[in-house]
Amino acid sequence: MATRGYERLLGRFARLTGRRRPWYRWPFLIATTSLAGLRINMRAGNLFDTETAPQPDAPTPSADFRTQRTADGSYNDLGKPWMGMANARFGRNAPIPETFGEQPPGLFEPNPRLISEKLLRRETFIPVPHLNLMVSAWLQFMVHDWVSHGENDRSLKHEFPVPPGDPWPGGKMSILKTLPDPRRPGDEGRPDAYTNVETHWWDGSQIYGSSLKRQHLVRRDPATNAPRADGKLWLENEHLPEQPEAKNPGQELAGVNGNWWIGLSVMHTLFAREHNAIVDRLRIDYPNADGEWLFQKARLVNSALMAKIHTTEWTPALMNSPEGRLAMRVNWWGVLGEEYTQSFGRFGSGELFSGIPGSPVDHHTAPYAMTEEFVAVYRMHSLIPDDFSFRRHGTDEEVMNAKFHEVMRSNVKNVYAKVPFDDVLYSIATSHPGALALHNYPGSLRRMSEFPSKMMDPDKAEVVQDLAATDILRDRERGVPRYCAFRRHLGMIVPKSFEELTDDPVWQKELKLVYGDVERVDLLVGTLAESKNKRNGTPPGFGFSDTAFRIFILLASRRLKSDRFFCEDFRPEVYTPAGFAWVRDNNFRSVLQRHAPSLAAHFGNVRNVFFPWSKGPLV
Amino acid sequence: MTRRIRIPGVVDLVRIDEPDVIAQVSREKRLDRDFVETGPFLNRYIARRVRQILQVDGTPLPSVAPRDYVHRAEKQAALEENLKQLLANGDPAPDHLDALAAYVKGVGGDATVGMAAQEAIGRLFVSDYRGTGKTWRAACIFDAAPRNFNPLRGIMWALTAAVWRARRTLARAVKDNPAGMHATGIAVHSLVRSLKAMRELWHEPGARDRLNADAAVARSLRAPEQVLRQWAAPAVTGLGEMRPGALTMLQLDAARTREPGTEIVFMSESWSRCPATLWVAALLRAVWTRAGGAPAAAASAPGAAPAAKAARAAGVAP
Repeated sequence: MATRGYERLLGRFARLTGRRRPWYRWPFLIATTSLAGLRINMRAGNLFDTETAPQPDAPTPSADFRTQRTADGSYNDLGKPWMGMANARFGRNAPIPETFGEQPPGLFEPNPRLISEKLLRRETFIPVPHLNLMVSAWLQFMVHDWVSHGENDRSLKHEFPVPPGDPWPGGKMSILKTLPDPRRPGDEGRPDAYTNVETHWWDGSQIYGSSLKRQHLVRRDPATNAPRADGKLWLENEHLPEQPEAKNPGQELAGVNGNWWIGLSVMHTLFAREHNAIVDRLRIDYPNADGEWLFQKARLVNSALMAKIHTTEWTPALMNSPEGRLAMRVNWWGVLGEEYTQSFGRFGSGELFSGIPGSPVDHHTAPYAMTEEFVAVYRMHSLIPDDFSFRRHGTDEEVMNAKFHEVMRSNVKNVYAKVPFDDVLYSIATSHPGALALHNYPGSLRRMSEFPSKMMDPDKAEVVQDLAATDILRDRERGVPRYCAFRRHLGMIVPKSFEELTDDPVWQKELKLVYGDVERVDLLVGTLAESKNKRNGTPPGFGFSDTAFRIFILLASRRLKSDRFFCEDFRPEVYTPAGFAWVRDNNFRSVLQRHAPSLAAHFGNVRNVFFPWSKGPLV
Repeated sequence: MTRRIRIPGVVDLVRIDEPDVIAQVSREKRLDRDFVETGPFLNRYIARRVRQILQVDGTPLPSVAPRDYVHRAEKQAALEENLKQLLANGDPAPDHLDALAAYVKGVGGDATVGMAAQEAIGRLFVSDYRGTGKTWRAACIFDAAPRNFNPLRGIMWALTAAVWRARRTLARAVKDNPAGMHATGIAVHSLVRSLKAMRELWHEPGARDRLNADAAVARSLRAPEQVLRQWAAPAVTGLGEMRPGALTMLQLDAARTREPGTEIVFMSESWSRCPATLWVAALLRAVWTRAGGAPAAAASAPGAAPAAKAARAAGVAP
């Protein structure tokens, strides 16, 4: 990849300013210019390919791949059809030699359970008052689109004793190992690589699945057991149907329905309805089109709309600063802005003036793939509350309250049995997510029944797991660098002591007790600890750490910039004029208005629908 | 990233650090190591300097010998075979492992490890080779001379004949063996940089408990920072139109971060491959283990993976 002169200048500018202080501590103009430079530097220096020879074969395409997305994500890049497809390998953001998985005994040091207990355990819920709980649901909804390491081999386990005095059952912790991809001849001298069982693209695979078999299941017409002839998704009374032959009977059906809970169910339901609404719209212009064509076009449109919502609504809600909002809007509309782009179309082909959608594809320095480091910084389980209150939207009167295990997996249907969909949505939109900070990891995820289990109550389950300890171990086994090394690879200022890691003296002591040396701090713990660091930590107004943000600015752009359907093929000829206009004219607010019109008064006055909605009753 | 600096009449140089592109241009027959004085001014100057410095009695060192240079390929294969044989007989550099491992653990400085590494390498060519302060200083000057663009240092070296003396010191120590001279004067610096990296790794809190020897070697191994090639004939390539005399610099150490295998670090698939590939990797592995690091993991063959993997790939997501 050759860089242009102005890009090199911006890159140097970012390095120069970044040496003295992080970008957000500079005035607006310098800060935004630095952000542009940071992305250029990371595109050049933080994208690493793990696909070695022989590269995977792409199967025969399942759709007209020139104008439609294939079920498994192949043929997005026509030169390398395997790129980004399901079961392609995760890439890396750290140099390949630095990504060897940790081995025992160091793998278990410090003890993941000790970290879970001493540093992560939630004592009292710390909410984020300016956001609503849809933020957490949306995040997981998106993550399920992008990444999954799939199921593990139940016979291969990491086993380590829990710290003395810990009441964990059996005195030891067993965590299933992640399965590496079979080694290839070209892997000599390289660490293990892992595959993503979902497509890497922003293609709605959490709704549509990552295989033709799954896609046909979510499109099923129960009367014929074949895909619905009208191109719509299978809904029953506007709700997701139960998955046939699910391991957990009663589990709702979706393209990806693991780690299911009520918030995720709401998002899936909304966007399954949205798919069907898009089909209805397309049928007006194309009355003779068959169901397959309508389905594929609606998928294209629905996926682009979700990408737009994530870029221009969800992320700005979490990056609630002038620089953060500008950065994300520029990604979609360019510096000329939404009004200009909507009025006059694109100005030139570059991404700067009119945004990434419609600009040429560029994979920069590595073929497109989601990365292990991206997975690692998206470990945001602290966003989940332990207690849920479901209330009527008209009166704000509580109908039921529940623990997390009562709103997860197949228990979701029990919630809908007592609380109508609109009230569930209202309740979520008027509740708050947890803050990404130490001591705010939900207790219900630190002791949860292992899937599949008939008993979702952890006190009655046969096997329980501590997701906090698992999170720590996962990053280590997959070779994600620890916090200081991670920041070093991203060209960030690296703390030399616990005092430089966090301003909170209590946290400093606790971290010192567990880790001893700041260089040993795990990535997840470091990113949570920097939430209380004014000099080099979480930027003001941000819901996540600056460390995580660096990966986001790289990959939020990359998900668009590498995808043909967001670049050269983001045009009416491919999306249809009606579909293209649908993406242009809609946002999350309009989706909510369409599918939950009775709630419109509650979100009418909020600037961003991910901010808390007005509580009823409203006049 | 590929960058070309081209000022007509002054310089024409392409720098490459992308593994794929490096592998591709390595196969290009028109890109060689003849270093003929042709092309723009700076290209001629660099070519002349390489030819003048990196030679013994007019014989180019193996690292700058053209592809078809007389007996080059045979000597390369013979050295490779010798080193393989040596490894088959036991540890690489058994007399120096303790010293190198001590350095990794924090004993001694740059000169100490330089001498020890130089001696370990020198013994591959001369059984009683001794790495001394004098031979190590000579290696440092000899390595820096072809890349020197500091005029003051150039003048000083010219006045004191430092480069000439360094070459003579190194050549005498290996009995005028060009391969030995390259190894003890040039290649030794990559080994020393690798050992320095290993020392840093050793002192990284917790690292030696969580990395096995294979991982430690992969993280420590350093490739030559750059190797130079010259276009011998006109060519239209993905890099652009190349004229005879244009220089191409392969930035191997930068490429290593993307492709840490031997294909880049030692250019093992190229005609110009380093014959010491196996020996260097074995030495570093032995040093790490001798220092007390975890041994290498059992080798897994290509294709090896738990059986559940295939089943998972075929299944439907839960």
